[in-house]
Amino acid sequence: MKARYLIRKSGRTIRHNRTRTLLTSLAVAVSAFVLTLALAAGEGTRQYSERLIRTNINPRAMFIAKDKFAAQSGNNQGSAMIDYNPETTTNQQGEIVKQLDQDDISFLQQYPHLENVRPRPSLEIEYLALEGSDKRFVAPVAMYDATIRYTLVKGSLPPLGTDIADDEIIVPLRYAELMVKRGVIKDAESLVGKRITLTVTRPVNQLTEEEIRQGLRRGGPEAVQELAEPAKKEVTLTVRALSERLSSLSNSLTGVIQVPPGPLNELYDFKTYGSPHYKKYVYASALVSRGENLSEVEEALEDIGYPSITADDLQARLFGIVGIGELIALGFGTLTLIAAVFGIVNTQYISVLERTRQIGAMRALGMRSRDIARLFRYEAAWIGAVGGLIGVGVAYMVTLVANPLIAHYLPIGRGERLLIFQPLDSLVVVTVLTVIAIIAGYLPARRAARLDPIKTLRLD
Amino acid sequence: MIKVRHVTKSYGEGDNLFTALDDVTFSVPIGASVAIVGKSGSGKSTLLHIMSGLDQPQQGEVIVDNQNILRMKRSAVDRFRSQHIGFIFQSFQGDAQDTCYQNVSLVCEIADVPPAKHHRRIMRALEDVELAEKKDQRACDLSGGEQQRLAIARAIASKPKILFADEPTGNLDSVTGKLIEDLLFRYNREKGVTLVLVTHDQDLAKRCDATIHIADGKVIETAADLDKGSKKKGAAT
Repeated sequence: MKARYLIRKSGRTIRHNRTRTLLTSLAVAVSAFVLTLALAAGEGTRQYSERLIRTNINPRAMFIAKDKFAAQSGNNQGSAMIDYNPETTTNQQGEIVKQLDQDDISFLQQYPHLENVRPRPSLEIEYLALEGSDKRFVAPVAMYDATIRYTLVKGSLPPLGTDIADDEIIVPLRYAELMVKRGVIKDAESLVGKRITLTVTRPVNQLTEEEIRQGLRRGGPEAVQELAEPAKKEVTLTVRALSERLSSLSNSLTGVIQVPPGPLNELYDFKTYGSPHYKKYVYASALVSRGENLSEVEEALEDIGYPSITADDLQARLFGIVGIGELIALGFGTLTLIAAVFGIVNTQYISVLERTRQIGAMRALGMRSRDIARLFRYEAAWIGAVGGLIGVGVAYMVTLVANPLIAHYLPIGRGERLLIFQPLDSLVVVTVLTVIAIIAGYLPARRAARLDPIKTLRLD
Repeated sequence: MIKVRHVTKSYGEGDNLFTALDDVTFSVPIGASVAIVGKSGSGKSTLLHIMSGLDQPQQGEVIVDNQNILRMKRSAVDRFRSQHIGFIFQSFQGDAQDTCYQNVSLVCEIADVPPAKHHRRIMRALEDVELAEKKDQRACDLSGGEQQRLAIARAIASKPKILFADEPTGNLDSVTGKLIEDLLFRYNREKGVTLVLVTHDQDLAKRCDATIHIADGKVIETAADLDKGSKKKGAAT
């Protein structure tokens, strides 16, 4: 019997048993829904993070360290005990890492394939205060990165690649909001144009005889007293803009107060003067020269002891996380699929039981048992296909409705879509579900085919 | 000519052995109408099933058109049945949710009738049983008599040479039953189709060219007048 006749006939049976079929199809639809959404979310997140990295970070930018752990920050291998080395420090993650010294910086600055090599001091300030206010705050600071595009709430920035002026500073909106809460300013946006003083301190120095003598000569006992006090250094900078936190991706560096290189180095050098960290840095930033192959430069640097991280590495790491999330969701989809398979088996067994006599009559009319089996398998296929289409359809509508909501409630930017419906993937989902439904219908179909027509006809 | 030769069919083993058919032998000429009569459980339905190749006896042969259909491969028997045999049961036994047209169409599809001929075949069959106007009605919306007429339409749509009917009027009132009988005999007469009926209705049996009485699996009596359908006399033995 021709396949199209069987497909048509099984389709009619499905329509006639609408309620039962639909219920079983809905079980399939649930897994189609989960699978489609998982794929849509995976693709959406990947595209979003790629776009985010591509538009916000100069792809030629790299972070260079002396220590592999620093370059791969996030794994905690650096917290192990190691041999003492005056070159090491503890980074922000609490990991012990080797530092770049002045020689390393000079070497990198002369390295032929790099431009714009800058040490990146990790500075902890003592406090900051708005000029004219005695309310003090503490906040993390980082060096202004001209390779990153910040999202601003108020104010403006120079074009990418150009630093802000040495007396300017960028403050995250949420810091400004805390200042509003503490009554320092009236509203967050009014912070732009105001001046903020950053203060760092250096612990008391054990004065040498020579220093005491020099101090006495210069200004008497008061000068010596001053020398012995914890030293303090202040810089006052004007708020140029308010930034908004983009996402967790850029949080650690761009989500904090951005200080231009000049004042930052000044404060850092002052604070670390006399300590093992003086003129030493965990990271340096650089741009790979135009026309160079990014990964080749990266490898060459690593070979001579300077591991680094680039936007590509960041993206690969993000994709890894997204991929795991997607796999988990797909796993759940597969679980629901297993439940749906039992539903199909059950429905089809009932269908065979109900139509036992009809099967006998069809056999008497010359229908081959093979075709009976096919008829029931096609019925199962219909259940799978209908369920798959329903699930995919609903998932598609959900992406339409959910995308604006997500863009509204999450700080991902207007018009961004985290769920990207994949027509081709969805087609694959429907096809796979149909095939699985056919497999699920195999046993019931075999039972139908093996029914003894004589016995079924005797039921009369 | 349908030749049934020494057919023996039994069920079970040892003490439970039950012989449904015991060395049954007879012939039905082409174009004849034959009634197989007997009490219920006498083996008459089993005989019908064996004659159509649905059931396999332990011994004996069934020769239709010089072919022993019991020796044929299963798929070959199925094809043979779909192309040359029409079946009518006590009740309709079709897809009640399908329309009349779809129910008849199924037979053409099974018998591999070329698609171009489907429509004409189906409509001809429905016209023959006066159901053409109800072709788009669902079978479950038909009366019992109409359903049985639909069963006949389904049986004749593949233009079979032989019609097997198992108690075709068993579920019908006598007036409706008479109409169905008339239809079957008219078809037998006009198209020269061999008609084999299983019935315990003596009046229906009398309308046939020959009657084969079965009791306890044996042919106990044949009332033959088989030369109407063919020139051979006393074809049933």
